[in-house]
Amino acid sequence: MLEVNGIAAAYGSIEALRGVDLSVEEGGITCLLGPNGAGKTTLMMTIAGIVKPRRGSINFLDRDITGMGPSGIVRRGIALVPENRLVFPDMNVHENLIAGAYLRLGKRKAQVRQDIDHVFTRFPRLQERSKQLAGTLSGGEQQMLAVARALMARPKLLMMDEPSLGLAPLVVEEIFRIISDLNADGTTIFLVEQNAHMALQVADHFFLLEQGQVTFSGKPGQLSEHEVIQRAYLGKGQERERPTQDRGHPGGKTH
Amino acid sequence: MDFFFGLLQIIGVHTLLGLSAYVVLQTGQVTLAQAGFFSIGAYVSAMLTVLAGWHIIPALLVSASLAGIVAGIVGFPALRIKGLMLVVATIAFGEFIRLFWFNFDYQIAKEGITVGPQGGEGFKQIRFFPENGWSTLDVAIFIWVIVALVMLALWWTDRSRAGAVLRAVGEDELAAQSVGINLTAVKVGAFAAGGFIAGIGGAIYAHYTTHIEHLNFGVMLATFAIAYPILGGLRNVFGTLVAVIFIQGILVEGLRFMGDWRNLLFGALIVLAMNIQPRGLIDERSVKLVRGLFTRDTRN
Repeated sequence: MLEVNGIAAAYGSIEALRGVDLSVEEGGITCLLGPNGAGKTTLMMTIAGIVKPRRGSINFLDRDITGMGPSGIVRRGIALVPENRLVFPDMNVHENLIAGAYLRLGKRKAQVRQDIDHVFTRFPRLQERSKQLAGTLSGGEQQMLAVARALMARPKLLMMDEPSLGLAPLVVEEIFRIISDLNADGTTIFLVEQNAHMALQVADHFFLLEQGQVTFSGKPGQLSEHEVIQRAYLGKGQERERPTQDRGHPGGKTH
Repeated sequence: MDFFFGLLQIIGVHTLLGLSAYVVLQTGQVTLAQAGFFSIGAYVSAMLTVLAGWHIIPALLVSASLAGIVAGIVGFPALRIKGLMLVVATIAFGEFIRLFWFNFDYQIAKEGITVGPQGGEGFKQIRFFPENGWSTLDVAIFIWVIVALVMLALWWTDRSRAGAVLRAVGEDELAAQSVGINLTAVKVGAFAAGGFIAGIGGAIYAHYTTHIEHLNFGVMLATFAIAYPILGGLRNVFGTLVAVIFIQGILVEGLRFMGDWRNLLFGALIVLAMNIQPRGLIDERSVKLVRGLFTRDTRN
């Protein structure tokens, strides 16, 4: 569905992506893991058209979308839930959703209203807070709103950049339940995560990104979680003597 | 009475000026070019009525459209810069337009007298209203009909889907892009709409003062343009109106009896008002208060 070929991107002279190849299969949940500074967010922003790549190409549904602006890419069916949620804080929940339906501005008002009803059925808590300013919502609610806002663009592929960031363990579980539900309803998901434990539970396929390059591609189980976590958190190619079971994945269960 | 009608005219024109900045500020862009767009409306409409003999209404629409087009063109370079850089760039552009009028000479003889803009001397004898027998009251009514139309249009936009998009860009550009909002279209559109409204204000201003010169359109006027909506709280168009009444009606006119001390008090009162109402003269609290006055309490 999505093919990224040899993408390189840089901020000034700092090269954040150094030839990334990966692909996302239609209908599944694909996960991108990697330590801080590996370039995960840059890759998301490049696919979304917000950062322009220096080299390489991106194909979506067999069409070249390299260098296209963010508007055109959302129109093609890719929506991004940005890192840190980035809701519009001084606008209420309803207005946030309206802004999400930008591409249908000026037409199909009834359809937009129907879509809002639809996301409200999925997220009843947002309906209760419909007139509340988004900045006053809890972190989990803001994450739901960010997802709901992206759904207003009716994406075929939903990209989520660290949805679990800064959320309490129970809320993280709820967010991942939402991700699985969305996927079950037919939306392809491309997920960036630091919470490797949760991500590996839902992913069909995952990639490891280290220092701007993909260093592993495979199915959960092909690498031990121990090694994934080591590499995803610390960016180390080989294992070290170090207890990893209790490291940084809130809500971690025994497995 | 003429004094009050005159004051109404000033408040009306400044409201248009404030609303022109309100639209642009909503997209998160601080503009100090509004006085420049205002001057385009003033000079062009005056040339159309005085030199070409047009009626005020078509002159107003044409000059405001031209101001809107110029503002849209300014909006493009403004896309690449933000925050303080944009403030400096828009000041520079506003001054560029002002100095254009300082250098602009175009006069023709009409019925034995020369009329038209005359560089640093300004543009005198813009006499459409007196020549057509409009009284101060007529002019005041004309102005307020236009102000009401503009306010209604903006109030409606605020509540529409387009208003949510404008504010979304103002709140977070990255998030706005992530849902596909076209920043170029929104920002340039806001600049053009703001320029159009400023142009209307300038056109009216030129005709009620009858004499304009480049010094009328300096940075001070541009500062007023953004001060009104900011002081008004940027929540809705009424905030801008309230701020104009507060500054032009109460501070400028109401304090006139204080002579030279007025200017000193003027600044102090604005600072005081901002401290008492840090989220603007019209904030959530005052909106609720007013709403409460008009809706009957149904709890009993």
